[in-house]
Amino acid sequence: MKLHFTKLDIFVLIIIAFLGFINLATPFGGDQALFITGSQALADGKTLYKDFWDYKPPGIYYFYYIAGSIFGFTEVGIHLFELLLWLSFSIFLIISLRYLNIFENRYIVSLAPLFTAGIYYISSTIFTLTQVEGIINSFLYLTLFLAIQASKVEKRKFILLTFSGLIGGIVLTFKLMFLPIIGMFWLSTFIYTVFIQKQNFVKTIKEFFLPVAAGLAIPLLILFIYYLQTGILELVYKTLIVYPPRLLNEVPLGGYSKLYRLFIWYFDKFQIMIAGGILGIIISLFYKKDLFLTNLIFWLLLGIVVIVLTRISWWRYHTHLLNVPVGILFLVTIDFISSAVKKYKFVNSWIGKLAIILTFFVLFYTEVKACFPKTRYTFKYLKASAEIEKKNVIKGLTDDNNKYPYTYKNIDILNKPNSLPGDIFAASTPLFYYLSGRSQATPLNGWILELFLKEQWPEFIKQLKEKQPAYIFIGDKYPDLVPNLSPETAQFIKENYTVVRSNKSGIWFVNKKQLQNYSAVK
Amino acid sequence: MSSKVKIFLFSILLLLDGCTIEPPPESEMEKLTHWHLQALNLPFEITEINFFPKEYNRKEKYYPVTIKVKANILDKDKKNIIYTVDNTYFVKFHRILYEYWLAHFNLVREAPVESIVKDICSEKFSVDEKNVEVISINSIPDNQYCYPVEITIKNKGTNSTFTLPFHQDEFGIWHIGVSKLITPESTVRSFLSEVNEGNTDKARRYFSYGYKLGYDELDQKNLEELFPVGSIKDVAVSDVITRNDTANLNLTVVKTNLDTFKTNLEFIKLGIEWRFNYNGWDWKFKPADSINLGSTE
Repeated sequence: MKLHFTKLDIFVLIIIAFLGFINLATPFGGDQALFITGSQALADGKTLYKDFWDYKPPGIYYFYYIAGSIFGFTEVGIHLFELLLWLSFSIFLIISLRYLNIFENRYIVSLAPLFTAGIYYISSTIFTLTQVEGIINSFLYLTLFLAIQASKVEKRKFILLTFSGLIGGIVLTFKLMFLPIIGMFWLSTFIYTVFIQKQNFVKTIKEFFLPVAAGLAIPLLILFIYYLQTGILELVYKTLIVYPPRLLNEVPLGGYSKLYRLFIWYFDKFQIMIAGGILGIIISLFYKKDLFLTNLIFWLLLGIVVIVLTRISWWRYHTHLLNVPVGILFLVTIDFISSAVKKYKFVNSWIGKLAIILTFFVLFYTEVKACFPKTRYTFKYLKASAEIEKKNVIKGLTDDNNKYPYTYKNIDILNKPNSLPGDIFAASTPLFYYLSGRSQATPLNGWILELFLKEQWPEFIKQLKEKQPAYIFIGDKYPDLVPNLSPETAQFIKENYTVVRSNKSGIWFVNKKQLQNYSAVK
Repeated sequence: MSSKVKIFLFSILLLLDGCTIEPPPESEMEKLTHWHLQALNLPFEITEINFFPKEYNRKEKYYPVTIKVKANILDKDKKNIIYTVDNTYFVKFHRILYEYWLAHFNLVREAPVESIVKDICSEKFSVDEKNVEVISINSIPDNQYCYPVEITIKNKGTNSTFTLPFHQDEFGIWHIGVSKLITPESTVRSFLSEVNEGNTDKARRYFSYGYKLGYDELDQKNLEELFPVGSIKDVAVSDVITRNDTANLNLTVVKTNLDTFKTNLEFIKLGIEWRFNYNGWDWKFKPADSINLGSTE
């Protein structure tokens, strides 16, 4: 593979860099705040699941940990690392698509990052940026490409498959539910090798699955040994394997209307991409008949299955999992149309080209328009030199998902001259820790109390007794929900803490014992 | 997206199961009905309960459900049935998240039937039901809470005619007289009067119960410590702000030892009654904290 870029390639990469740039200062949503809280705990030498517990597999926490360690545990630091990932992906996408030779028109290859990484950035919001489903696209693509490559070459097959397995293993550290997608990549490539390339079945099994398994085992084995050494293997097993299916049975998650609304939103938001993608599927299956494109269709379909099966969530960011297949299949259609019409002189004239560019601009006007407020916000943020100014810029960002104003308004109680020192517990957005600088007192977090299993509530009370947070904040919906979910926890808090502030935002409690000691010292 | 495309997509997606917002599960509705009836402060057993969900109110974001509930109200020892209610509630269910809901109960009120009037009057006047004659049960006047019921009592050869105000509390129990909880001010005064008499165990009646946690033993203890029997000298209410379903007021209690207790209280309207809006966390009847930890509200 040669590293040769056209002017259009460079132009598109600059656009991706710009789109990433205008997302750099995006505030964290609740999930991202949880990830940064967990990754900061890792940076402090704590152990995931033991000292900081969450349902999510460790991949996302290590991603934030690496990002934070390199560029800082800030919005800009984390988003910059993600931008580098998307930029690397974009460069690799151009190189690999050129090599795979699936498009008849070279300029389509150049546009590929725009309709994958670009669409991701354009449609990202506070709530959806730097979530697992977005990040994982690069890793899934690499897993697929390496497997496809292995089926095409004679030499270095073993290395390519081992790396495909390795990257697939990394994918699993982000979410075990992605196994069917990467499994299908390998299975389809294997079937292609045996039945289309007419290779020996037994020999292919050995040559194919052994390196894949070896690669796959590396990250999983490293984590296995680490958790074995730290003595929390059973806890990790329960967290990742036992609890998720139990959640589906034990938590009243509700009906399918949420899924319905998710799909309606997705169709509404990405109608042009979806329409082009559907045509791309037809062209791929009946005209192109290409292994890579077939795998993208598998990615798309199994991705939808994974979204449907992740019943606990059904959040919008889950649809980012489909970014790459939808984007490339959309381009298959554009490539097909482009080839069909390029014999017409008008299309090749500058007026024709201008008309095509304008058509695209009109079709994606809503998306392009969304960039303007983001650009204004980012420049305003970067222009602010002092921390207080930056804080005000974020507070001023009008967005329903921006919980910084809400959090700042509430954490002022922690920054008074006579505030008690010490760790806190917030049954609310984990921004309380990130923005206050106070640590989460207990390993169990307060972002997803509704997803605690029955046996976790006594454990939570035990942790509260042991860690004695100076303050407890019960935010928003939780004053109603906690007594519903665990009256014992509510009773415990009521008996051991006293209310220092109560309003519609939530209730602040202070530890009675610490308050008495504080009063005695004063 | 054009409307035709939307209708097409909508039609396809409607084929999926459960495409509209689902009503609360029956188990949740039953649980919340139990919690609502907790404020009775007496043991009860629900003998029959039926749910009739209507269409989701998208504008105000609640699920309207009519709940028909029959229940036996027992005495404190749970030995005898002291009352049987057959209530219809119009309930607004607000989703907290997933399948966890908050419920706002409103009793659907109808005029008392003759048998109930006779039963209550015979007890009040200590006469046999045969000696109670119901002359008329009038419709409820505007902005009033009681049904005027005209009766004649035959006792020892004399006939006495009365017009009595009948009101039904939120649990479906009929009473003669005007409810003590029809204004926020009367609620707080009635509550403090009970507390001053040492009836703190009856205080549960004055609190809203959309929650499992609520007025409990700890609150009762705090209340008794703050206001021992006979300790309340004077009660002053000011700054009453009443909205549709909520109200706020400032309360000042002067105790016999001349200590003054001040607090701001929030009320919620349940049917015709105003009750303290208390979800079990922020207990308002406690001595002021000795230090200020930054609280602004």
